[in-house]
Amino acid sequence: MNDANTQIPQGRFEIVVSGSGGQGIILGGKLLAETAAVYQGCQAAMVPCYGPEVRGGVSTAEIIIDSDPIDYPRITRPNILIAMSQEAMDRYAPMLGPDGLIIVNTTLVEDIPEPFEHVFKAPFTEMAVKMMKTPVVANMIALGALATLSRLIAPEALKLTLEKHVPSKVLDIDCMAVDQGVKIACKAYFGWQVS
Amino acid sequence: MNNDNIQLMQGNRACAEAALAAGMRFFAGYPITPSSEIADFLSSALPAVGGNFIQMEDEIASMGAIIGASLTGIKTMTATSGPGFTLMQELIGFAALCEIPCVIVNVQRGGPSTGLPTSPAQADVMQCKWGSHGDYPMVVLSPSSVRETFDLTIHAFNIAEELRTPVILLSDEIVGHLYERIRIPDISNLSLIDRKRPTKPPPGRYEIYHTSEPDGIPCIPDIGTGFHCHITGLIHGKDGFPTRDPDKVRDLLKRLHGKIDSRKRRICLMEKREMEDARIVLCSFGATARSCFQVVREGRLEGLKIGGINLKTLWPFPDFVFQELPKSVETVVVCEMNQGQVAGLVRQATGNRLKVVGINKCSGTIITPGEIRSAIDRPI
Amino acid sequence: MLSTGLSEIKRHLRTHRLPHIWCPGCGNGIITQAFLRAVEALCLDPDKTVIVSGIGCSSRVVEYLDFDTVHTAHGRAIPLATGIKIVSPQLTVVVLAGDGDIAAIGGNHFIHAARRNIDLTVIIFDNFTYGMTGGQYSPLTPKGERTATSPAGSVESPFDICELAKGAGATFIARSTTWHAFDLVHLISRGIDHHGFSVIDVIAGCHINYGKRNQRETAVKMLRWQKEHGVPIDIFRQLPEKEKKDLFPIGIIHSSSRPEYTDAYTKVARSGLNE
Repeated sequence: MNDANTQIPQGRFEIVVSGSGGQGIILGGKLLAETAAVYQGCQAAMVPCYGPEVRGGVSTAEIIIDSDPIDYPRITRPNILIAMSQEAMDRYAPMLGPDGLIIVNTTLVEDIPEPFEHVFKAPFTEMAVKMMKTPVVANMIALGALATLSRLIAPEALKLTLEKHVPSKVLDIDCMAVDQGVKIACKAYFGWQVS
Repeated sequence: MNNDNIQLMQGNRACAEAALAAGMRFFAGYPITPSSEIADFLSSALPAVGGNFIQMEDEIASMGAIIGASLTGIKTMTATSGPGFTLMQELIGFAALCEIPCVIVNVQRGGPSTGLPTSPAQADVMQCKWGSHGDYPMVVLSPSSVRETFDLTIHAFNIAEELRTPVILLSDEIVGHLYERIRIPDISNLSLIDRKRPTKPPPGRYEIYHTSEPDGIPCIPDIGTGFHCHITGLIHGKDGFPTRDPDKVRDLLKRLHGKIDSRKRRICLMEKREMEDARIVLCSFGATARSCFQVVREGRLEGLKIGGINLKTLWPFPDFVFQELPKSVETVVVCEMNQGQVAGLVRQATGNRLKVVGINKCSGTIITPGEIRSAIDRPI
Repeated sequence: MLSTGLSEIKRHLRTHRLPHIWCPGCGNGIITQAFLRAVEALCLDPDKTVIVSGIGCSSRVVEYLDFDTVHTAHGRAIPLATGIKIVSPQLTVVVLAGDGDIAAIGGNHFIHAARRNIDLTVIIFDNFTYGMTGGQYSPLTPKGERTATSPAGSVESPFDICELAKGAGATFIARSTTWHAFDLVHLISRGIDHHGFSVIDVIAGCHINYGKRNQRETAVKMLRWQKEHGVPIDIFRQLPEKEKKDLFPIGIIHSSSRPEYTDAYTKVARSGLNE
């Protein structure tokens, strides 16, 4: 499933997907890690972090993708942050290195910290509601964008993973959302490389 | 499942999958964070393989149910976390004394009391050994990864069956909730142990707790097979009936300890890394071992003479490991999310020969590689 | 079933474990005998009958019975019996337990087993007290009675264990006494034969640790009290409320039918959780 556009990282790679409970954050993290582990031949780990709330509260998936076996499974200095809410942005942006990539859900994030060079902004939630008639696939748009920008996973592999985890009646909508993410990311005005 | 079955799997799920692979066919439990995924999965997976799942009224009852079911000869398991584990202690003692195989999973969370339900801790090490009243042996295994969770769950059932004893799988919130890439081993190649049973009722009275060796394992029949066994939580003789005869009492308690202690080297599993010329050894277990190995890996790249030990068996405590360390070792640094429960055991094992230092953290967060590194970079 | 001779009962006893620990005049022997007569009456296979007990004088009974027997921890007979029954529904599983064991420390397990309607038969050796520890009050001690821990008379209201079982969902409930020994055999037989959770509450005497504090210091006085206070249920129901005071109904208190737990579980499991 490694198409020409996928680039297996050499060494350790850390990603944070964060937002609020109910946004499908943990599912998104799981899909990302599983796609890397099963289809891209990488080592992968995902740690879900959440509070006692079933809905609301900060919900975070920490994902490690590595060409070698993973010892420490938690993030130390993330390379990518998907910030689906303001709280997520505030909490995790300071952990990123200056060369990190931030993917921002501008529907729910207003303040974006200054020093970052690589910031990809899109109103994921608004797009999901407008195009797919539901906010719950905002996470899939973000993942599509991440796949394209980072080239860590192939969008088609992501869809294969989705097929295993989501009911068939919503699979089409999820895949459409991934495609939307790919589409907008292709128009990104900057190039960003897995380093 | 085939040979090449690569999945992203959660630690708790790996525990449940391994239990099924080991032949576990009865699970009783009570909902509690962070162990609930195990029960959730088994509630549908067990009936699919002809097994039974039940959600009991509390953890005391869950423990009782798995003991009862085990008495009929099937492999049984329960899973819980701190508060529930505390309730289970009463009948864990019963299972240890009556030599009833079963596996108890404790996915540790922050304590004491209700504590930190969604945060990790490793503070139940001593409770595992001393949680029930009286002096009894215990086997406690501690996984640090999803794959280890799978392997140690199989190991737990094998020890429980072979030694006729309850075995505790001591996981933690991080390992239990962690998703990792895992290649599920071919189940038909797993080596599985079943408890020994008498084949037919011998003439006369059968002594269910008879062993020919003082540290032997009795061949107790399954109930419902015509032996008319008597199982009691009272101290009993070889015939299973209560006794206060001092010799018989002593013999039983000695044998209970002996059957575990005499097999310590086989029960105790561990992973050692970069030990050959190590001056500093980072010793840990569970999730924290991952941080230690990260430090060892990075330290070696910088030329530090540093090694690591991940203790996969915590009880019986593998004191021999610390008595047989390479001569180069000067300091053992024990990292654990508690106030120093294992560090104390390591000190006991090393006597005064080595410096033993603890890195302890009880804040509901994992000890990071950075924290370990800065602690060992300071003059110890 | 009344014609069952002592020799037929004796073959179900582990005679090498006798004499038993009970005091002369204790009611436990009468219940044990009635239970074994019921085993004979029902032609139960001793190899397929498991007896589970908890802790207390009465729970020691299992040591003397020649079946597979499990003497568990205090109050925990029902959870262990539940585990046995679920994985081996072909076995007849009987719980023998005292009133403190089943109604206090094991009370939660009791109501939940009743709720599940799992096919266990619970025979309560109900002597109103914790005999083994010296005669303290139990949840079934009548209000005002004196015990080692209620020297001025118990201020607590007892459970009506039969009504509790009924409310919790048990499908066969009976009460008898050690005075009504022959009825008892019949009721225990009915309980074991019933497919579902069965409770037989047997009022028994502990004159040594209970009766002596309540003007019933002999076994005979205990039995006389049972005779005078136990009223057949049909008659009891017609009594005016004020006359019911201090009396208790005996006989089949409740009998109904609803799906038994292991049947229901098997049915749902077979019908397929996998789409």
